Amino acid sequence: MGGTGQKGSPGWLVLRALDDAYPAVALARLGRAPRTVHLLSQLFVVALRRCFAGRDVREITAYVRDLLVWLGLPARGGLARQTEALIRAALGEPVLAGGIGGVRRHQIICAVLGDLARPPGASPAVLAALIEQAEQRVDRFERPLAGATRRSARGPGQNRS
Amino acid sequence: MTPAGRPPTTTETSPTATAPAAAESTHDRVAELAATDLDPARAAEPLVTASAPPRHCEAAAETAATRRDADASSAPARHVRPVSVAAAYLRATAVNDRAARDARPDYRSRVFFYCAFEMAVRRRFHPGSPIAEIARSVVNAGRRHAPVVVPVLEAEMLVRDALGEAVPIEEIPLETIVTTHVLVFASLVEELVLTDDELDALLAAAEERATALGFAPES
Repeated sequence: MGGTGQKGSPGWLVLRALDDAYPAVALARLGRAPRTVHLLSQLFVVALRRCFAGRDVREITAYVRDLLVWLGLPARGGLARQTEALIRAALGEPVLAGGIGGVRRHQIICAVLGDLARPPGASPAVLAALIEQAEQRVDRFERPLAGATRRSARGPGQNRS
Repeated sequence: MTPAGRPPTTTETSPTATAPAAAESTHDRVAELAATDLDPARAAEPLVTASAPPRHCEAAAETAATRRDADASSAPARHVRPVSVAAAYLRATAVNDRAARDARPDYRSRVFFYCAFEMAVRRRFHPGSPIAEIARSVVNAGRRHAPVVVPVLEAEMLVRDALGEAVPIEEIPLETIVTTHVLVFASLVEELVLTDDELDALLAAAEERATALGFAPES
């Protein structure tokens, strides 16, 4: 799969983008290749669950407002709601993010992940560990189940012909 | 409830269009109510959102809270009845009945809907209520009126805004706001298990508040 430290791997590229002066922009420039999108999605999940799991939703609302104001973006409209929806979806309310398109989803993920590097930000070692965990999750969740077939994917009792 | 310039819908079978067709449900009427105000000339008309009237409603909200406390301590209260068409419509929706007349979703009616919604929200929740509890009520409102779509996050934000929280409520479409105000109100009435008299008192108080704001709903 290419580890985080392997030059040219998605993990290495993400780590390098987070070290950029404008990390959100650098992440967005990585493009939307499936492996990159999956890695960023899982990094988003890992980072948010480590930050917000068990916290009051109002803290997420406040965080989103703070983030968008910092980025110079409108903080009281649809973008703020979509950002909160994606964060809450990552924390266990997937229904909230159902209506958000792929491009907007990618933009929001890049903006939030770019915030990881916002001063005082996480250390390079922490970022590398987060990316490594995200890569493990990509391998764990973004591949087809071993031995899974269309037939065996059906529920019990539905395999009779 | 046909605004000028909009062709009648299939449910408006007579020029007066006051009685819903036999097969028409509350859901159909609420959906139509939400969609009616899409006339371009009126779509730009600002609705009562938390960024405008609610801010200059704060005194009224405090008055309402005080009145509520006073009502609770002086039971049994006098039985007041709402008198407006919009209140009758909201009442019919809340008790799953047909309104004698359909409400015209003009600005005055929307102010009244907002007032009723906010009062019900503040009676059901408090500013520190768990978001999960609010979200559950919103989902229940959507489930209860299944043919009408209640966008969950937007509706939750409107509820939290009514509780005084600083939440992103700009750019929510007008039809979503009206739908949320009407259907979540109806659902909260159910959750609060209000009696007919209590429901009437709540609607009358909302009328009173809308009137105090200068937007008395049409009688």
